[in-house]
Amino acid sequence: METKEQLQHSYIIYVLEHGRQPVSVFAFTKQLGMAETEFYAHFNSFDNLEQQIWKDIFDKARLRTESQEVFEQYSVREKLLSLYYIWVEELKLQRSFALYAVNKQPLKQFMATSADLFLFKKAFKEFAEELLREGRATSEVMNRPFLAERYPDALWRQTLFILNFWIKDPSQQFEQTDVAIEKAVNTAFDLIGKTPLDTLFDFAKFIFQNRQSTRF
Amino acid sequence: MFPHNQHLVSNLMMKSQTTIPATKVERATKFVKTGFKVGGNYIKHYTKRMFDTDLSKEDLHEDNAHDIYESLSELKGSALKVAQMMSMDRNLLPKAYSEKFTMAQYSAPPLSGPLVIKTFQKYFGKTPQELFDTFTMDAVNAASIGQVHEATLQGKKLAVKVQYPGVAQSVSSDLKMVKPFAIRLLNLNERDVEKYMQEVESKLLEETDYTLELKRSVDISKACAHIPDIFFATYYPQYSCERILTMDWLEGKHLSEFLQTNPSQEVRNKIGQALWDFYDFQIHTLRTVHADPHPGNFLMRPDGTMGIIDFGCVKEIPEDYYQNYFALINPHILKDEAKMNQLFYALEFLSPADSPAQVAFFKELFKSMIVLLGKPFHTPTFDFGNEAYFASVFEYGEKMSKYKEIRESKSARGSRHALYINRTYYGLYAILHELKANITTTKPEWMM
Repeated sequence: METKEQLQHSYIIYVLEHGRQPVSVFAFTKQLGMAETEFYAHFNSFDNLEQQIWKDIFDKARLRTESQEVFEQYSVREKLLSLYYIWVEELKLQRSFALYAVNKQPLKQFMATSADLFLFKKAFKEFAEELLREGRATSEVMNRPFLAERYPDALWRQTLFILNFWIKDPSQQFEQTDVAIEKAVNTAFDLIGKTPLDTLFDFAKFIFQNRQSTRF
Repeated sequence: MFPHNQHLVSNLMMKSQTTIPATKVERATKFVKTGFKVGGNYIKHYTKRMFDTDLSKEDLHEDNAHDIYESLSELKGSALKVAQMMSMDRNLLPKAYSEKFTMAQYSAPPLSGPLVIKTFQKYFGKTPQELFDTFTMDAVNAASIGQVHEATLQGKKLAVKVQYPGVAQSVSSDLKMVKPFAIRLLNLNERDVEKYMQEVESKLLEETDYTLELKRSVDISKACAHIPDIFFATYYPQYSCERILTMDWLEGKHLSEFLQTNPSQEVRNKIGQALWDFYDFQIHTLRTVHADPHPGNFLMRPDGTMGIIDFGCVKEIPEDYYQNYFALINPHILKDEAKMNQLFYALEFLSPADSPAQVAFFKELFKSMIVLLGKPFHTPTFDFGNEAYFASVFEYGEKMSKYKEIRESKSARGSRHALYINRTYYGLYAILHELKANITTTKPEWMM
């Protein structure tokens, strides 16, 4: 195991057993028989380490998703679905840590303002923007002025919704989370794809521009 | 058998759906809306009655049935299935609605490709592409609660049924929501509705368990292997689990498509006979019956043979119920008044709480029904193409739906087992009628 992974691994074990962060980086590395500097070579602080864990889970999921043989044949919608399914799988391996991290503060606060997800959010948005770019090319995503800029944020909020759902999901093998993913992504793509509203807007624009000739 | 006003042929129709209110909240909202409407109907009814004393409760029932139907038909899922089953057993719904009910199918929106792959990985640790030589990601068609994919393995064409996740969980909650409406709609007391609900719930839950379906498919197809002109798929336990079922791909046409090819009378008789023999053997020998004679489950071929699939809904017939039920079909029974009375009570057609007037009324009703519905059993051969016979069955149903004695009787008539056994016979008669098959109606020796 590399030092970085070893540090993360030991940290997770520590917080799960003690229910809190180690008192100091010094005490933590001493217990592992390492020099303090080795910790700081990878992380600035315990909080930063936690952020990295969330990001690593996502990175792993993204790598697994994109290395599937069928990935290239997928539509953008299916690519996102696939990512979520695999991400939830990866999360499952760290469920105890996820519950610990989330329970440190009220859930709402965690989702909305916590710094824990900062790095993960950045990585996810990069992925989302790539997907949306591709979606525009295949016209699965409509390029609406102003609104289109908010799409990555909307998809991020959807990710939080899924995380929240999964944390609270009481069903066997988290089956309901699968359903939630399926429905959430389908709804999102139905909204950002071409809808009757686009046609209506287009028509209204036409009428406005040709108001002379359409007047009765 | 007992009263139905089901139009037999309508049983054969299917309707595809576009959208389902998906979440529990949405579904509940739907029900709440119906509640308001039904309440509104009562207000409307009593206001109208102040001015028009002739207005009967019948109109109110019609109004209610209409609104309840409207909301149920948008819900689909198990809610509709219950309503559908119940409408077969009571004659409360105006004819038009009960016809609509039977068209509805239990269906779910299609699964996305990634979810299909995820389901495979969850249960087999492999993607379908790794498991099979080829696997089409787009579903070929929707099964009742999942979808069917086509796959090949070592040159063999396979059908792979994948279930939508969360169906099992939604069954119980859907049924809980439909209950108050079932009570109102069927005008029954809560205990009686509960009795039917339990039966439906247990069957629906069984349908979501593909491991059980696999076992039953293998058992029944083995037991029925000797029956001529029918064939079954081979099932593959190594590629099946609770949510996935893999079997051979059977060639053949569904009833309506098959009839469009204008099969000869001989071929239709042959298929009809095979169908009759299949059910005769299951009911009288196995006492376990494929209780979903839905036309989609039979694949007919031009040479007069037929493939049978989908053993998701199987009813095991309890011994005492079997004895009483078929004793009624025996033509000699009509001459034995005492025995017949005893059977009516045993089958819960009559209850000790009935008034003498009710007893007399229902006895007459059931007697004419036995004569009518038992008819195919009373002769050595029977022509299911006989329009006059089906017209009289239909007429009987219509007449039944108009009796206010039936509507006003608060207790359910018929045991819980009757639900699926009647459904089986209705399906069977309906398919035979569509086929216009003239067949030998075999029956067990003790009934001769």
